Amino acid sequence: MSDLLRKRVVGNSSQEQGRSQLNFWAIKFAADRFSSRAAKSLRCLAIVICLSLLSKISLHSDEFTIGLPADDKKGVRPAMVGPGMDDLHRFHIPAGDKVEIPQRPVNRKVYLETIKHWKMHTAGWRPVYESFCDAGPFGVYAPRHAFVGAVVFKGTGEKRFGEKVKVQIQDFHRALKKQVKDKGMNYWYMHYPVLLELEYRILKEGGILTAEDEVWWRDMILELNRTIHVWGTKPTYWRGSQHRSQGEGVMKRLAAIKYPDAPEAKEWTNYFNTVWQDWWEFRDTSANDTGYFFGMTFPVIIGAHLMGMKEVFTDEGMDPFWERLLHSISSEGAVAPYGAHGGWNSHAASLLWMFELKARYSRDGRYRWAAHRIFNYLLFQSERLQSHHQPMHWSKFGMGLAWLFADDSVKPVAPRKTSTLTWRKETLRVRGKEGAKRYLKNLDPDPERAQICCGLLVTKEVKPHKLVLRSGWNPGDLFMLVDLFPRHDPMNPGGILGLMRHGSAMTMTLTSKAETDWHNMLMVEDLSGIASIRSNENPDTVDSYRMEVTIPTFTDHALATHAVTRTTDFIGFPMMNEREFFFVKNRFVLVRDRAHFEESFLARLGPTWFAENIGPQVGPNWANTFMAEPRTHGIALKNPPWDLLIVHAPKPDRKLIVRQRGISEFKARYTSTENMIRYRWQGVTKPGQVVQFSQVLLPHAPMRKPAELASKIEFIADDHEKTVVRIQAEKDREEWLVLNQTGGLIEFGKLKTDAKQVYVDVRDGRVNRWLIKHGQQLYYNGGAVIPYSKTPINAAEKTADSEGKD
Amino acid sequence: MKGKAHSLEGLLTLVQCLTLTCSLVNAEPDTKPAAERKDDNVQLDAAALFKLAGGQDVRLDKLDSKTLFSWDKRDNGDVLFYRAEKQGQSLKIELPVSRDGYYRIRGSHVHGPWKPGRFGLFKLKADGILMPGQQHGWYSTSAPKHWPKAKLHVQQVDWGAVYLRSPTALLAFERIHHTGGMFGITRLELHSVKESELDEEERKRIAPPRVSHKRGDWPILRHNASTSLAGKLPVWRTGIAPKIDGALGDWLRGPDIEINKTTIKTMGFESPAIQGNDDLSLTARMMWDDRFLYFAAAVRDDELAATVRGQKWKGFWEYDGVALLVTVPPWLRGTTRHPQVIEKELHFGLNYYTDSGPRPLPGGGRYVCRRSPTGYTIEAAIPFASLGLDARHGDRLRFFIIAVNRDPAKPEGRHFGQYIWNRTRGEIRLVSAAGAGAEMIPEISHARPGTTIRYVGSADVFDKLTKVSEIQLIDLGTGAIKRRWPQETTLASGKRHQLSGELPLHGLPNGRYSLRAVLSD
Repeated sequence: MSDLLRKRVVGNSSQEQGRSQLNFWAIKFAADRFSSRAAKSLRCLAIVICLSLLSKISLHSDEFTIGLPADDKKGVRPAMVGPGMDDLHRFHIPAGDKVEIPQRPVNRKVYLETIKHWKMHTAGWRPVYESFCDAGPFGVYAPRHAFVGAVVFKGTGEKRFGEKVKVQIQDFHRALKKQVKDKGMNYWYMHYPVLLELEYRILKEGGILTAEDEVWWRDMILELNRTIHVWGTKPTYWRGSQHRSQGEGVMKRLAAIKYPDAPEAKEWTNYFNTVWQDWWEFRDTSANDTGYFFGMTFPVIIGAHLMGMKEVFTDEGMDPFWERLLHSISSEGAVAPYGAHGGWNSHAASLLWMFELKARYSRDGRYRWAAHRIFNYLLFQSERLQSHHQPMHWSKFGMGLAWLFADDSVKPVAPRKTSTLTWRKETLRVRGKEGAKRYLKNLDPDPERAQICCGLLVTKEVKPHKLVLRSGWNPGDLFMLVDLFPRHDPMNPGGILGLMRHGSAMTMTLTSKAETDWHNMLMVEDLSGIASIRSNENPDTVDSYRMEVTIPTFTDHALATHAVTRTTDFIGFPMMNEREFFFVKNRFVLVRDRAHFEESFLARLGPTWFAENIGPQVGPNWANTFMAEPRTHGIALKNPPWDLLIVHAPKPDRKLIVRQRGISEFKARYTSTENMIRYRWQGVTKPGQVVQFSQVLLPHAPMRKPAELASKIEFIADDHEKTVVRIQAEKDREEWLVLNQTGGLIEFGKLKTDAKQVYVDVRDGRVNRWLIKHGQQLYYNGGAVIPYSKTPINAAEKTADSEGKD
Repeated sequence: MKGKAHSLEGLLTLVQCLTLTCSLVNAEPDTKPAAERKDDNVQLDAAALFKLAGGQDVRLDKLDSKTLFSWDKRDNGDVLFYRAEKQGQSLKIELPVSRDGYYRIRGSHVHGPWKPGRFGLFKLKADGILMPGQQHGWYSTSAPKHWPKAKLHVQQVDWGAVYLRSPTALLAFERIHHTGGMFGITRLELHSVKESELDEEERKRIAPPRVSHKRGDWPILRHNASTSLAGKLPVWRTGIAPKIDGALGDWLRGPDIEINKTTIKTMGFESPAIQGNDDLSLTARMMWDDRFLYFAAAVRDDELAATVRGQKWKGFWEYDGVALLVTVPPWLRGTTRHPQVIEKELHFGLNYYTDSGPRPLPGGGRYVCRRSPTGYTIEAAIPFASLGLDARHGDRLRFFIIAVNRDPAKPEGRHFGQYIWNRTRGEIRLVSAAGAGAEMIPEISHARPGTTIRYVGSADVFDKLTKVSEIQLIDLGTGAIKRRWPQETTLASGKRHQLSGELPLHGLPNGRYSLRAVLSD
């Protein structure tokens, strides 16, 4: 129940309040990678640091002290932490740029061979091919666990697999009867109905099913449909675009097609025809996550295949749906999770088979190409994935579907290697069935029917979905995924959901069904509780607030991508936040927040970054971070060692806060990033006031003393008109980033320009690569890179001919 | 001349170069005020500008035809010189603007050589809006050959048109190049122009409402906005504590809190809609005194579920009743009135009971239920001590009221419902008998001696027109009022008023203080 009430509260600033008053910081290492002695010493040190900072607790209150606090002269600044990182495993294995994620050619044969050799926990953790036929009864899990057997049967023609699948499904039928006898219902609406139909077709085609088998199969399917109470609840005939309603709709339609003489066939078909429109009319579904989303697509996409509804794959109106999935994967084929999810790359195998099926119908080779990237990343992680039954099962299961759906005659084609904006339909969380009346047609008036699955539905309004910042499709290319969607949880527009370089994940989101409107974005709190909250005034919906996101600027070039996102009524506050990204491909990212306030309140704000590890050094305005092993389903995945340095434009009125947020044991199974960095400003705002934060995110090779690197990132200027950064991350290399929105002439050191955006890469004193946008001149060290031109240049760039993939 | 040594040196370079005879002028030149107004137009000569630019690195020189190649005869020869030490610095002049509207800005500026120490390249920002015009020196160390040797030139610059707002506009002439830092003005003019006369680009130049963010620039008290009191509940102070017996006859004052089919917007997940007032509805009231927060409710419920009989109480969602959820807000935590820093939300489950007796409440709270003909009544006393709070008039607390309805005999799907009063805006304010309350929250926890402190706050006026008559600074060590700032800020009734301001702290000894807004009729 407390979850229900844990929604946003006016002025609660609950994201940080309640857990956050202690300005301690802690660093968490992969302890199992340490010698026990080193681990103990580090833990002790962390405790000492925590205790030393406990004495500096700073609470905000309605009282104040006149006088200098004891710690105010130096400020509370975390310094060097840890006795050194010598014992860290990560320094003894190849760094990310030396790690290859093999990109083997993929076809149906490869899928099949992989499945045959993957382990099966329900059969003694032995390879499928060896163990499947010896396995004991799978019971209620049979439709899923027997599926790989059906695949091997169809792939190899070995009847023993087909016979065993039949036995397992019969066992499921027994389990179904017991379930119905004991509980009066079943709740297997999501995976089983379409899987059973796939298995039926495989067995039927392979000559496994006899006339007698057809009888019990019919009994099983009809009983499954007649006793379905999705989620175990009485209300049935669910509505909406989500997994319960679509699962129920598809299962009933499949049953009606198969057994048209069943007394309920007409009612089931009518129901399907209605509920299917809850998503198809909009060509979209509600969830903005990488968890529940796939709960809906499983029955819908496979159901469309089984029902011959090719339009799901070929209709132009579905393009935004498919395209956004295609562009969301990293160049290695990893799926950065967001919203409610099961951990790093947790549902990648779902995309794998979806892409193969999409390619089969649309003949679009990009989807096969992307599927093969996903498959190769799964293989890269296969040892870890096969250490836990859940990821092992779901990955193998996805491969089985991919094998079944793949069409080797579709030639894989690499997608365009550009950054992309993706779009989707608006999601609303309605006030139950009552609230849905305005949006959904033909709601059954029976109070026990037509409940709205998840309370979610979609409208025809198009909203920005994600900003995909991509350097290319080479494994290891710098990749960033940014959320833009202003509706439904996680409600974090501008939040960085994923960042990868050299195959190393550098952040991941906290799995959550609720708002995480502070994750890797500008986190705002009202410490005074007086800001007038821009709450959602739509009486039919229950989302606590409503904001809008626009993208005034998005341009992609060979060297860099520049994008500006603008969010009004930012996370319900009377303010607008403009987040600007200057993504220099395969180098770094400049992220700038400009918070425009519309009211006075006591605000605490600053961009956050969630990391698994923070250190080994931090400074007053910077911190080094890395992820050792991103988690999924309680296991740790491989992550090639690569660090991320975060450097904020230093400001005297800001403070770097490093904090262990503390997450539940449950969430810790799926999330590695419980430590937070925040560069924080606090003060009374006024209408018209702009508070700006600029930060550079620089991925780099692991190092024990990143302070020196941090010192090479200089914010030459950072004010409301311009941000100028000079980065000297490598010997004899100097890179400049300029955001100069007024287009005024600026000259700092060797650089002079009036362009609004500039990137200059100087090597050995020579301008090697450059990009300018909206300017008339660019000079470096007195020499004209772009001599003054009376006609403003919209955009121009030079990429180095000797740079290779960098 | 009050400029720094190096800027003086720069000026001397200019002087030598131009063989001028410069006279240092007084800060208050003996010239009559030269701001001339014709309708909304403004014209300022160098002397007037010099006054407006006081405190910056400026000087006033008198030039004539011996040194100036040409100039507007309306100028009396005075030139305001400004030297920007480095790129990015600007000469700031705040001009009077009689009314909001579009103005064209024109200036008469000294045109001279452009090199280090000489005239530079300047752009103008009017209230932060970058104007298209610019003023820069000529590209030579000396004058063009066809000009008389070493003579300056006064030229007219049309800086552009912009929408400005009264009462003033801040013009900032900014050095935008690393070479040359001198800037000279003999006259500056604002000409009111009609919007219809402007092109599209010009019409887009609209200065934002001006806001000062500088420390020391804020008023003692500023009334920022008035917002709705929706979701904010006044809790009246009582002099007579009600008897906690379930009889509600001693509850005379206070607005009613209604939870029923019509009012309730937020329900628990899977909760069915309230079927009618008999199914579930309640009317509640609250009061406070120094020790307790009192709550009373008359609940209509046509089916009372079984309660605890000799067993341990389960969660309060398992029974009929009302749950109160209270949180001490961050600005009260850690104060001398809330030293324990209780951050968590405290839950008080006021469940209906029969023979088992009431559910134990945290912190010594107590309540009594009574069966009524249509349901039951609840009367409760929640000690502020349970929140660790020494409550006082004006305090705001986050507060949710959740009615729980258990109806096991009703059809499936209607067995359980939760109905939440003000889930997203729930707040109570402890008010005086006058029906108003306010708090003031300092911006920072530690203020340096002799500086200022900003604050933000709110005043809820539930009853009748009220005013902030005084702001007080209380020494928490002695309880004495150390400073008083009389005010006359009227607050309309039925609103929450957002307040902010900045208070000088000079002359105050080190110590711990709090702020108080005194409200009066």
